[in-house]
Amino acid sequence: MKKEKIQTEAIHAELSFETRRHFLKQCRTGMGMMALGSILDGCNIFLKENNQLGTNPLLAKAPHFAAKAKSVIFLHMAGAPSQLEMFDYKPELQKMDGMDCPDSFIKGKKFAFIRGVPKLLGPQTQFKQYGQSGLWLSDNIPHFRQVIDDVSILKAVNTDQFNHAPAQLLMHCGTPRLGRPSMGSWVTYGLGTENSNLPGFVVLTSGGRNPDSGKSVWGSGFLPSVYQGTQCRSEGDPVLFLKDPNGFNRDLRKSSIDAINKVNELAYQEYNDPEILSRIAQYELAFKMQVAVPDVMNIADEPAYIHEMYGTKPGEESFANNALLARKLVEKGVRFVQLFDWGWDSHGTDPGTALDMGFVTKCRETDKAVSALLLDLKQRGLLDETLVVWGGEFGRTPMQENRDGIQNFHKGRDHHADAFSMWMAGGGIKSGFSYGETDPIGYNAIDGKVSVYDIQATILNQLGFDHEQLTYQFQGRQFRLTDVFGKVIDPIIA
Amino acid sequence: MLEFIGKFHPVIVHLPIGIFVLAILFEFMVLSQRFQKLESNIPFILTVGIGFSILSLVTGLLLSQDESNKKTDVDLHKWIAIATTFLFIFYQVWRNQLAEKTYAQVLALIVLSTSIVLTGHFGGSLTHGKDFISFSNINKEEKLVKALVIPDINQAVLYKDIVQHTLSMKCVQCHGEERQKGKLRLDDKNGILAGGKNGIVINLNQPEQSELLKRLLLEDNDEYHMPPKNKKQLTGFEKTILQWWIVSGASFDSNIASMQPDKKTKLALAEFKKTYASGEIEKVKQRKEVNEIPASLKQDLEKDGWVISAISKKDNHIRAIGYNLEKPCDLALKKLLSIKEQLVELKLSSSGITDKDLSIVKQLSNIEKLWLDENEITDQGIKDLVDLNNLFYINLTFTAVSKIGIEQLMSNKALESVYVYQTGLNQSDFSALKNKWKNIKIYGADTMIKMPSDSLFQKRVK
Repeated sequence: MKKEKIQTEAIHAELSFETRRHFLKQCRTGMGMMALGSILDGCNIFLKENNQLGTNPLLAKAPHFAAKAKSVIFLHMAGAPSQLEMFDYKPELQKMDGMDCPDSFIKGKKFAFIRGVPKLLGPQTQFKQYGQSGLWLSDNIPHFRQVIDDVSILKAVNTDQFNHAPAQLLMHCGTPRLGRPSMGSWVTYGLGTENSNLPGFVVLTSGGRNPDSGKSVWGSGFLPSVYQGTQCRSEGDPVLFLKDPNGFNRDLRKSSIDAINKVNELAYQEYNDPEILSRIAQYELAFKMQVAVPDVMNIADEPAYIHEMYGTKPGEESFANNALLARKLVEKGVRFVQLFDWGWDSHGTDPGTALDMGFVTKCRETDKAVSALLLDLKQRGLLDETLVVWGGEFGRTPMQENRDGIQNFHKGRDHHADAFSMWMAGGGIKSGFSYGETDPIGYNAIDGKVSVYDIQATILNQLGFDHEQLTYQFQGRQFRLTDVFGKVIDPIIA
Repeated sequence: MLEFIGKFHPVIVHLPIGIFVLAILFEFMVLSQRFQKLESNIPFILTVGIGFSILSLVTGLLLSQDESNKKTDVDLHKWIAIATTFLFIFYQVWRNQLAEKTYAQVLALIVLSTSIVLTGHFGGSLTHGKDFISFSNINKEEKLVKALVIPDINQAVLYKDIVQHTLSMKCVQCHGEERQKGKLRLDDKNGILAGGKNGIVINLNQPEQSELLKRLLLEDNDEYHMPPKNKKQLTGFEKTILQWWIVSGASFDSNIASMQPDKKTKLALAEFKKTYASGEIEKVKQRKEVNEIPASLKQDLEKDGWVISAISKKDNHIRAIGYNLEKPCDLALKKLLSIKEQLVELKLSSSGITDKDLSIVKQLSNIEKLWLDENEITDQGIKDLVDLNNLFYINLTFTAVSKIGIEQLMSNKALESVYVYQTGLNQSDFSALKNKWKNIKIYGADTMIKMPSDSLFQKRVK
């Protein structure tokens, strides 16, 4: 009697997958599709690519061509730092400080907060040339002078979004709207991982807030969810809910995971849903991570000179700690490490967002750690194979922000999409090089203009991908990170 | 219109080839009693073949009016094709009069087969390029890179020393002596000034409007962009230099100093010199082609904790990573011997290997990059690595290796970079090594710079 009941339940459960909609759809096309499907099977050249069924989706895979970089550290300064107080030196703008912004720049333009005619604002700091390359750097980032000969600065990056969330999404997912996989997901989808005990794509945040676009900037979109970013914390448990409850030993954990996975395998044989494979892989990974993650995420054991170099204090949530963790993760073969540091939105509405106060503090919090990260990667021999990318989601205006037409009390700048600075280092990128130029006030790109898609194409290129070929079939078409755009920035490739 | 019909030549040619081959096949088959029935079909097949053969000749002659190929090559193909057609016509007439098979007929068939193969081969050379069929794996574009010597970029003659180098590397394959697509030659002054089918390519009155320049600067995926999408593209600095050359009047004998380059052009010229004429002949790392490793072998290695991946989809060489090796390591390492031929990158960072394991690594002779960092390795083990002739990168950071061990390594002739941070090396050892081996990059001790103090900020923060 009881057995019968269980069987009926199972049949009902199965039938629940067969909805009215399925039935109607299949009546119409089912037979035809069956016939066609059996004929066309061999024609689908993408089948092999997308359906790596039955295998671990995180296995290391070969890229399209030999890669210069094996991993990426993307340092995202969320809120958009001012290029005019860091990399893009504009002496002309200094001379025009306080003058009304010429009409030609603002006519027909939309700004997030600027209304009417704003005043031009000169650089709020001093610039000098540094290193053998003689690149200009501001006094806000004094430590960076030591690594200036290792980076390629892009001075004319351009985006088409001037609000944080869409611009961050565009930078990381290739579209200002939700639903697409992030760059780290594409990369782990394409390359798998080199260390099966750690996630392939790790996200670390600092600055007290997650990025405005939420967790979608490290989401996997329509890619199997095994490729989404794993957020780790530098304070408390590195990964939440990873610890076993008290009294639960590792053998018991192992056997329970084995049992769950066995059931999942049966379900997979029945439904062929790749998400079930993701789930199996995730269980196994989580089990290994229980040991590996606390180990790699523990910075307390690092020697004192390393802590001094980065400016780290174990146990707190800070950009410096995250930078050190990024190095440790890459050293252990993690493919893509994404850092977000919130608090760069220098509007000048309060001291915290003033270019001569809050902004300087942000520079100070990150400058040493960023420079130390590059030096540390270099001395350990990791920089050749690690691509480091630094940037915000857009730049800041050469004009002082006048929120609702009234000049802000503090010195600040509004969101600016037309030209801003980013830099890349390592991973086969030229060192001590600057590409692109803006006009004398730093408003528009006049030479070497690159788009966000070009940045993405270049990152993928260094990892060995033709960005036009790294695709995934979804809703009837091949999707890619760079959509229909993107051109590799050849001039900065060594 | 006639030219348009000519374009069908490459399609139509396959018909007579196929049909003739069928006829020859039948001729041999009817030698056997079993296929005697086929005899009656042969005259018909031959007639159809001859018909298409003549059609191919006509279209071929029309196509040859467009002289984008070297004339002698076209002529060779043309005359062999005409001869083949006539040979088949003669053969058809002759065989119909024969009462039975003779040795002369077999001989004739062999001659006919050969002439088809030759016609096809020379035709193929025209469309695919002469070196399409070749046993050599050497990248054909690499061969074109000549070592340039430019002692002083300002004294260089812009056209002769720089522009022509770019043109011959990126354009002349299709617009040169061998082929003249669009009737354009870019391999010498006369060709450049003469222009092509659509007129001049350099407009001296309005240099910005020059066709050559416009095509170069178009978007890469534009239909009219040159070089075509699948060919090697000009780099940014090459474009800048070519643009400057054309806009400043396309002089064929001015030297660079007399043309007064602006800042941007100077940078591009410097980059040109750095890339092509730095005096360092770049070591071209050529690997032999190898077979893919069998999936079962890969799985077996993965069971021991190896992460195995091919260098790329086109290159079956292997990168092996051993972060999580099953202990003891020597068993796992020994298994690598079965992929010895493919293995070029081996990462043993903090894998727990010891000196004696390096005697296994020693046998992996194709290794180019080797990571031994964070292991208990000493000079004793390093001795074993001296014979790795392909090794050009080695990471020894956080090992107990000292100056003696590293000096031994330096005799490896391929070696380019050595990482020695946090080893038994002190500052004076390090400087001594750097002075002694100037062509090998040694990274370590001196890059560990103390960061400047926070006082740099003090004066700014209120």
